[in-house]
Amino acid sequence: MTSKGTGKKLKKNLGKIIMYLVLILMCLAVLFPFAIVISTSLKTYADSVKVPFTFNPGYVDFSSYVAVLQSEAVWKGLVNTLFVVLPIMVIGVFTSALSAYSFAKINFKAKGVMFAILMFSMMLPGVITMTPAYVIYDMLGWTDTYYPLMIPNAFGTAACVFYLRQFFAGIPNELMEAGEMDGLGKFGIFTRILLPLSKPALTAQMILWFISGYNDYFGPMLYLSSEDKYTLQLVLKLMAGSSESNWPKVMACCIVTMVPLLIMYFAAQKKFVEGITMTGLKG
Amino acid sequence: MKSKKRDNIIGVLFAASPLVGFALFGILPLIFSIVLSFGNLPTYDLLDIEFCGLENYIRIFTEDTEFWQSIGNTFFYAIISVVGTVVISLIASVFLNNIKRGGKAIRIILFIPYVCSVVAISTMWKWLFDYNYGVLNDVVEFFGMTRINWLGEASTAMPIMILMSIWGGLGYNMILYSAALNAVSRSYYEAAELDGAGSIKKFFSITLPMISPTTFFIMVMGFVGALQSFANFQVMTPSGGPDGTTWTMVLRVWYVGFVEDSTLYGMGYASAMSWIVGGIVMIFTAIMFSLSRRWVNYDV
Repeated sequence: MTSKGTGKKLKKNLGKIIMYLVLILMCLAVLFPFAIVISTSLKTYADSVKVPFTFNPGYVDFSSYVAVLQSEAVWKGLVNTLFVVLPIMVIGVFTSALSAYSFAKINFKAKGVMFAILMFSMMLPGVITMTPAYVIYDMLGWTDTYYPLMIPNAFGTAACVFYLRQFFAGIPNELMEAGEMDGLGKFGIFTRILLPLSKPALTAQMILWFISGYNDYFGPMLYLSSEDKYTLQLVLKLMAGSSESNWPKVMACCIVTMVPLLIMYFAAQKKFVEGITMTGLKG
Repeated sequence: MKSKKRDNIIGVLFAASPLVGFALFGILPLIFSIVLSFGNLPTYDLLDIEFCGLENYIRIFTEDTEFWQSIGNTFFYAIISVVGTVVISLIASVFLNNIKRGGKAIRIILFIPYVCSVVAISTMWKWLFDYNYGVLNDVVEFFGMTRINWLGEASTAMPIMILMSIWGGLGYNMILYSAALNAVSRSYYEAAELDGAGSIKKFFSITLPMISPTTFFIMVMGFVGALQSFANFQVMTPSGGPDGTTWTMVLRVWYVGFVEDSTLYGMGYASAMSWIVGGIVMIFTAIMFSLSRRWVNYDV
């Protein structure tokens, strides 16, 4: 009996050890590229091209970071990115929320049809519209402007509607009826009651929106051609793509562009997880 | 009665915005692209269009070997990377579910790549696999072999893209799986334990069927995304890689429409291509949904 008990315990512990081992290996695999890149970014150019790679050259050289932070292109890229992303993030989440409110709390005839169309819009592969959209934007004179990156998103996105609809559905109807008693119209109920109650959900959506806007490469790459209009991702791409790359500087730029989102992530870690599981599972 | 009528109007007005956006920036270009796909358009100016009937489509089906190669590449990439991500993220979340200490830190680390941009990740990976200065080639040399031109050789370029995709997608899918695992009721496991089921048996007969909706969601989203993958390939191997082994369908459409000499293909040809790509993605999605009835368990 005792020997069987300890055997079982040993087996259980062995299982735990294997699990930890596998998980730690995964973590190392995820962190490995970052470690190499950070190490490179802190070297002089001469050392960065020395073979074999040395993880710790025995000094820390911040000059690449200084160069990146003094680069006008990087700051301009940041300003452009924020200009493209921030206003539309607020407007887009608002229009999505209004739509989600209607789908969750108002009974209207066309609801079923409209919701089905919204579902369909998510299923439609975006690639089909790449070329014709470009031709249309070009005719409108929108190429090499921020309009193609901003205007379509201002109408709200289906994914955001799904998530917020789910959240709104969980808010008790009594609260809204109380608002109606107080003489609020539908829009008043939305802005005065629903939105204040939904701050966590709205923040989660804004964070996800900000990340995808900040990291967007496809749109800016397709539509922007003048370098002074480049967003941060295009600035990074341009720097990384030049033939005589200054590796430490490129890697420093890589890290610098990531830092704002990493800070956001570490600060609002729970919001990330919430936003993803809600959109992912119950949409 | 009056308020019901009012609700009908207000409801539509409030709900309309994303649908209007879809009509203007989704449906309109969609109709446009049907028209374009039956014509030759060497510039971006619609007035230059010359209609040519089915010529674009015929050319794609009879001559365009690179496009067909890109379809094969994309499916290979999609299947391996999606299955790989599903298996690895499932292992990670099941293990995380079974340990007490350190789980939070591990989750945070595994999720990091999700917040990094395609450009940043691709730049990092390109550096790792750089022919002259990349760390991976130091390892190769350490083991006495000659340096490998990772992204320049047909046999290694695509595997690197797959590896990069799994590396980047692990954290996101792990979060979805963790939520699903937490939702499985303990009572199922307790009942199975009374029947003497071991942990492996419990995993296959309880856990796996119970989380099948999540697996399905991850696979559908993963496939739909992977079949349309573009940015990671465009940064790593902008012109199709060694012997065209890293052309993806969308990369090919983009290249034909925006990079290649426009008198050769043009926007009309690219539109025809994108319809075929869109059709393939939609058919594949439909197949996945119809197969899902056999193995996805929505009883929970």
